[in-house]
Formats: sequence, C-alpha cells, structure tokens
Amino acid sequence: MKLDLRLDTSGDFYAQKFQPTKREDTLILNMGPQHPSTHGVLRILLEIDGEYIVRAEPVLGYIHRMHEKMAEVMSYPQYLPNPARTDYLHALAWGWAHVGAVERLMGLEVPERAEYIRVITCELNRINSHLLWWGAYLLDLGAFTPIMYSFDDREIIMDILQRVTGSRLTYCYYRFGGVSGDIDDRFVAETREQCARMKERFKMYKDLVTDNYILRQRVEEIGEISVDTCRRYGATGPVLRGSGQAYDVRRAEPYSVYDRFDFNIPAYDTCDAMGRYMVRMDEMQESIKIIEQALDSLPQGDFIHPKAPKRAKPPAGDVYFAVEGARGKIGMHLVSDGGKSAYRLKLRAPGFSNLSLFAEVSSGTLISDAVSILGSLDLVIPEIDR
Amino acid sequence: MSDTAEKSGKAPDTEETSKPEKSPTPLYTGYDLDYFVAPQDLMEAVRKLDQANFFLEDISCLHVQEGFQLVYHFDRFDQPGRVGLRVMLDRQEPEIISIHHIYPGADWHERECFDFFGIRFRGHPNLLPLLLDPDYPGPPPLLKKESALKGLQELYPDRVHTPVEVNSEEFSREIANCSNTKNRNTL
Repeated sequence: MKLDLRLDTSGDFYAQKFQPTKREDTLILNMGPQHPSTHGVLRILLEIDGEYIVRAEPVLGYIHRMHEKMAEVMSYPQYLPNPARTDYLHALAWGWAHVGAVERLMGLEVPERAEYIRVITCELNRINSHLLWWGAYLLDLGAFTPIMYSFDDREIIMDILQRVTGSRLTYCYYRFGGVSGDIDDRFVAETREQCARMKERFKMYKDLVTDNYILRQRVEEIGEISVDTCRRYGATGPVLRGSGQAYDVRRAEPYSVYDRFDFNIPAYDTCDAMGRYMVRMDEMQESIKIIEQALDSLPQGDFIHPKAPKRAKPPAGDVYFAVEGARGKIGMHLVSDGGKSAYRLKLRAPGFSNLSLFAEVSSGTLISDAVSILGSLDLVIPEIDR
Repeated sequence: MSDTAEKSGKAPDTEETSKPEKSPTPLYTGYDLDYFVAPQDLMEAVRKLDQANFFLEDISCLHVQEGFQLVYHFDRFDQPGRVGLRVMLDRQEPEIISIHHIYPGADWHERECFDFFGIRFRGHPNLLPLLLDPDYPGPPPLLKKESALKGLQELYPDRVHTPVEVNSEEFSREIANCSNTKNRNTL
C-alpha cells in the first residue's frame, strides 16, 4: 500500500506556501511555535526524511509588536524603555544603540564617568545574557543542572544592577547624554566581589560542563558555518566569531570608551556549535576583564551631561549607530525631520540575520542536531520579531 | 593602548559641550561612504560590494514625498567601514530588483520592506508577509499620511541627490579603500 503522507499537510498559509519537493517519502512537520528549544514563539517548517531535515523554513512574526512604528509616534524620551523590550536579555545594549544614535545625531556630549558606567553595566548585562544562554542551551541538550548554577550567578548580577537601574531585566538606564543615576561605592564593591567569584565559577563550569564528553558529542562538528556563509547572510556576534572571524563592533567600530580597555576578541575557527559555545564562554571572561579595568580607572564627574536636554530634538538628517550586543551587531538607522519624534527608526536585530542562515545550515542534519544548532545561534525571538 | 586612549579623549569637542542642544550637523553620521544609486544600477553596485567582501547589514526604507527611499547598509569584517546605497523608488508602484542572488540574507530584509511599505522585489523567490499576519487587513503599517510626509530636502538639507556612476573606476576604488579609521572616536 502506498501511503501519501502529504495528504494532510495543507495546513495554514505558510504551510501551504511551503511546497514539498517532488519526493513522495517526505513529511512536513511544524517545529514550534510552542517548542521548548525555540525559546519563545518561533516556528520552523520542516520537510523531513525520517530523522533528517530535507528543507527548513523559519516562520516569524508571532510576537511582532511594531517597535519601528512606535518610534514614529512616541517622542524620543517616551521611546527610551522600548529598545529593552526587543532583546530582553541584553537590554542595556539595545538602550545604548538608541541613545547613541540620538546623541550622534545631536552631537551630544557624554561625560566620561557616564561612559564608564555604561561600559560596566552593559558588560554585566552581557555576562548575564551569556549565562542564561549557557543554562538554557544545556537544558535543550538535556543537561538540567547547569541552569541552576547559571541562575545563581545571574541572581547576584541582577541584584547589583537592580540597585542602580531600578529594574531586573528590561533596564531603561541610559539617557541622552548620560545615565539616569550614579553608581556608588557599594555597587563598585559588589561588582568587584562578583567578578572575583565569577572567575572561580568559570573554572568549575569548564570542568563540569565544557570538558564533558556527552556535551562535546552534541556540539562538536555540528552545524558548521563558514565565514563566507556568515558574510552572505550578515551574521555577526558569536556566530561569526565561532567561524573564526574576530569581528566585534567594540573593536571594529569603537564607540564610547572601549578603545581604552585591553581585551581579546575570542574567535574559534572550528566553525561548529562548539566554536560558538567557546566564544561565549571566553567572552564572559573578557567582559570581566573590561569591568575590572573600568572600575580601576573610573573617573569622577557627572553621570549625565548637565545641559543634557530633557526633550531631545535632533536636527534633520540621518545617522547609523551600531553597538555590540550579546548576539551580535545591533544597529539603529535614525532619520529625523527635526521634530520631537523620529521620522523613521530602523532597528537592525542581530538575531534576525543570524537566524536567516538556519535554513541553509540545517538541511541534511538530524532533527536533534537542528535543536543543537538553533540553541547555538542564541535566539531571542522578541528581538527578531521586534 | 595608552596613546589611543589619549586620542580618544573628548577634549576637541569643547564647542559641543557649551551648546549641546544646537549642533548643526553630526561630526560623523555613521556612514563612511554614502551613495545615491539609480535603480537600474543597484545590481551592479551590490555586485561590486560583494566582490569587495562587504556584508549586508540591513535594508532600511523611508517614505517621503518623492516616493520611497531604500537604504542598503553594508559593512566589512577585515577593514570595517560602512557603505550606504540609497535608491529612490516610484511612489505609486514601488518596485526594485531583488538582490538575494548575491546576498541570500537580503531575502528577509526585502520581505520586511514588502511587509511594512508594500515594496515589491522583482525576482524574489518567496515574497510573503514575514512579520505581519498574512491576513492583515490594512495598508502597510509604516506608510505615512499625506500630511506627515516630508521631502528629501527637508530631511537631508545639505545633500545632493545625484546618482553615482557605479561603473566608474572611482566607485570601485572608493569602496575598496572604504574604512572607518579616520572617523573613529568622533561622536
């Protein structure tokens, strides 16, 4: 008996458009939008041959909120909390991209102390983001315990940031011309203590997890992405650095005071999921190095420019401002007509470009490896859908 | 390390400090090269950028009185420097060739412009709504009302909108030498 499994695959709009190939022995499967490994509401249409993926196509937009429209109807200060709601794991970097774009267009000066505070808080946030990725990725791969350890560390960093920013996840701390509040001695002491603690923890993480044979079997030689693939798709961040290209906006297009610190850009040319894993593990240690240097040389002064405008009103024109987020290059293209809200604000989400190469990379792999690849891309769906 | 630290000091910007609210044009816009390109020359320009090892950052779109302005942003890994390509599209029937053959990553960016502005990309393999619901009833959400539209002259008062000659050697040389080194640490 010949069974045509495609009979029942008419599905919704996207499933219908996702035409099966000529083969009769394949099956169309929806992975998501509620699949644990997609960390949110990402849906992937798969055409599978047994356990192997023939074709994959991500379907986006399940939590699209039109942040770009909001930028056009809200005034600049009203929009300040918005960028943090796109990538909630590295909220400060998104906030920075927004205030940075406005500052660049207005030619607004940021006091040195404020730049240092931004670097310290943004790097703390980056560590937090990587820690959550680390725990969640291992959870995807079947290791339950590490997320408990990573949340233990995250909790301390969130407490530190909560005291100065007022929130624990979706920070709105940066203002045009500085930050909303100064850091104090307690912040400095707690941050130093946490940096020292993290260094010990990283040793344990290496022994317990990174060197683990089972983990290595799941990530080594899985999801190999060449530098040229990254270039054609515009992938940045740890995905690109895991392919051996040491490109980091903090070094390539230095903003703020990043050029004063001594840190490495980790890159691994294994091109596989392990490479991306190692990049993030090393990057957390580099962030600690940056934080410690910034604390050592923290200048005195204003935390916000005394003449910083309450209601920003940049002149007509456009600028592009990019920062390095935990997932890659966050870019903002701001066009102003001289009014009190943006004429147009385009958000470049790194996860958007990173995910777009998934269709190419996943074809021919096992479904379980696709889960490993997806996790190694470190997706945050609200950022992709915006 | 130490001498770069000295250079990056904000001392030269003292004029800005005194009057932060009134600065005519930014010292650095984030673009190291910024071109206007005729729609029929876009493919050639993108091909040259591809040969010069650029990657596509994103495709931004702007609704103005004259029509739609697509802004393609490119950057480079080994020798960083941002190139902007600006293409003006017709107001009634905005259409442009898809560049996904050269940059497959453009696929989603183009679908996003189709979603938000209704721009059609010729030769796009899969021009379906990406972020919006396929049943979304209204007009594209980022289209502006007639009264809110601004002209290019109002948005970019100091700029000349003449298309660049993409086949010229000068264009190839400029993109090959594109670098953000001289613009680093300017706000």
